[in-house]
Amino acid sequence: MDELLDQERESLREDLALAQSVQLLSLPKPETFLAGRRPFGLAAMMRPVRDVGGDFYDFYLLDQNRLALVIADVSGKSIPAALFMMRAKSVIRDELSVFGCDLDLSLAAAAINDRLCEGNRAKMFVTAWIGVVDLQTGDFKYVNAGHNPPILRRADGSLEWLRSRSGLVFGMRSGKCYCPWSGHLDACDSLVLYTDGVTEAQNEAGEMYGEARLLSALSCQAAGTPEKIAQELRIRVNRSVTAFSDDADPFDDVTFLSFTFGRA
Amino acid sequence: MDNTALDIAVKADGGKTTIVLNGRLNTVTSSELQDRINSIIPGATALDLDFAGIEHIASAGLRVLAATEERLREVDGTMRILNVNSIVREIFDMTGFSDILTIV
Repeated sequence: MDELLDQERESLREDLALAQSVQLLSLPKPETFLAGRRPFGLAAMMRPVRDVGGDFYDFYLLDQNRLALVIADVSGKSIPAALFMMRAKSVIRDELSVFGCDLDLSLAAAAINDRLCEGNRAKMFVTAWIGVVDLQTGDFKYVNAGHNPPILRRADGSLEWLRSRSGLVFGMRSGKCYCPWSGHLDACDSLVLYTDGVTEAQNEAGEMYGEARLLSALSCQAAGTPEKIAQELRIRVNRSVTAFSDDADPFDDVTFLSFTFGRA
Repeated sequence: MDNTALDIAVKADGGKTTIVLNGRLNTVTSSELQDRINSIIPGATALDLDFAGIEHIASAGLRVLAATEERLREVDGTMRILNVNSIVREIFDMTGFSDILTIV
């Protein structure tokens, strides 16, 4: 009997490990994406707290001039969150591509929300920040459905919060409206996206990492090419969170995405 | 008290039930809260959740609140959240839950 249970546990462990690799492979890799020597920089980090997680990031070209950036956090953990995560990622991609050249992010967000509400009996929801950057001009627009506010880091190292909110988290109530916002990036300005696994990382005393420490980690010297800057920001935040939480068990997925603008 | 625990105290007064919470609403403790609410709801339709002792709420906690609010709405019941601190308030505002919950 015990042997049977052990075999089932081992089989489940193997399935979860495989599920994790499927999930992580579904996230785009900055190095592969940048291999065409694009003028901008991208760096990403994803550390699920269990075998499979509910956080994700995504980035892809909508066309040769526009880059979509996404960061999101599904409520809950483990297999249900992982399945909803894969669905949310694909629904977001679908709806952004449907709207194409006439991309109205408020309409796209409303469509994403309605689709994620369909058949969602488990009442799972996902917080998401979705941005589209014009690679020619550096103008960007975004919607924030209940997600942690990103940080805009200027080339000179100064930091600004993007605290504008658009509406309710996705998947909770259908028929909601989302207000779009916009901004502008100059060369070597960066957008820093993260999930609450970063700001809510705890140390053994139960303290949270918090927004102040995140700002401090991003206040580092980071110069050079956009690619180097994006990488440096990821390295600094990863080191800072790891050092802070030390031996404490992680509570939540840690996910981070940095984008640094550069002109061709 | 262990900072990952949640203390749940239920008071019934006429038609109103008040749940007094102390601690953190994380994945584990939210599940405990959901179970407790599920045992109360069939009888109670006016529910107050006293958050004075709640330092922080995770997404699992938000799900419990949203599910409970919807269940009560289906039976023409009410749910109110009382005494939220600034951190919890900020989480409600950021996620948009301020617009779907009655926060007093």
